[in-house]
Amino acid sequence: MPLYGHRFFMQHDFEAPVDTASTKLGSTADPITGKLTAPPYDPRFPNMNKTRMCWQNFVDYHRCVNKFGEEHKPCAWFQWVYKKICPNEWHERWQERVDDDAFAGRLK
Amino acid sequence: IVSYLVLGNYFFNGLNFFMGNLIMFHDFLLIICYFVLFFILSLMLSMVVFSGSYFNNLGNVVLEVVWTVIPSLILLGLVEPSLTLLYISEAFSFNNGQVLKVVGHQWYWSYNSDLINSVVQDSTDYDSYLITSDLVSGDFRLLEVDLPLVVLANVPLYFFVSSSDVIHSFALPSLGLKVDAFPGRLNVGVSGGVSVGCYWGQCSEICGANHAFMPIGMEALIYF
Repeated sequence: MPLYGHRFFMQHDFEAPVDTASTKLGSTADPITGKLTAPPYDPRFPNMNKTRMCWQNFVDYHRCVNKFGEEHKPCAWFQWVYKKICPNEWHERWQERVDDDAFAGRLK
Repeated sequence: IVSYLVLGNYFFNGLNFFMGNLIMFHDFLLIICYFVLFFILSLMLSMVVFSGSYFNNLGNVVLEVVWTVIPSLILLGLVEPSLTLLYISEAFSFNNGQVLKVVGHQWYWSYNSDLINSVVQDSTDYDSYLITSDLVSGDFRLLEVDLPLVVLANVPLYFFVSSSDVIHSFALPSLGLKVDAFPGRLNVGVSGGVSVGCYWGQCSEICGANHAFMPIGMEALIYF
């Protein structure tokens, strides 16, 4: 399990809106659903290169699911993040490899 | 510079707040460059045109102090707008805004916008090609695309840019944005928000035969 994973779903419950009617600069909520729309700043990946952030959330989702089961709701946070930021080609290709037991990452 | 821009509303061609400030800073800097250039050129011209000996005074401490202090004062004057711009460019660090995935191909862009996803209820990529024929009078010749990138206006934009084959570069000059697209790498470019309208850009990294013919069209809309 990641070291900082719990901090994200304690601070930002992806089900609940964070700032529905906030007028702060840069925190306009999604006008359609009123929910958190972009993954929050992850200090593990501060630079412009977010390749590792995409990969790490994908791996963390599968580690979470393997450990706690698919019905465990906080696991869906990682899935939300990687689906938001990863190009579809990437996470679809990785998912095929996970299904074939050929993924090059520790998912247990 | 920031407040002046807001009060004066010097936005041409629907620029971004950030790009407007960049242009203001650039103009300010250029005036200083012109002054320095004019001064040096006039000194050199006076040495050429007017007769006289210039080798009488071979050391002047006061002069040396002056021509050290004055440039450093000029540089101090440049610190404030420069640092302001630097911090403005980092102002939006995620949380709320629109996440747009852009993948460069040879020779088109494919977009994945969460605005479209929320309407279509599925994560769909769509390709954006240059329109070569059937242009209507009033269209831009090498900029019109069939399916533009659709974006919400007045909302921070986060472009996650990658490539599927060779290096491309996702450029939107009106936003002051240029994000390189590398295969196997995911770069992020942040924009503070745009007003409603159409924005154009072109691929900014040589990527083969049709490098000049893969433009970026972006339409910013509001939701009502």
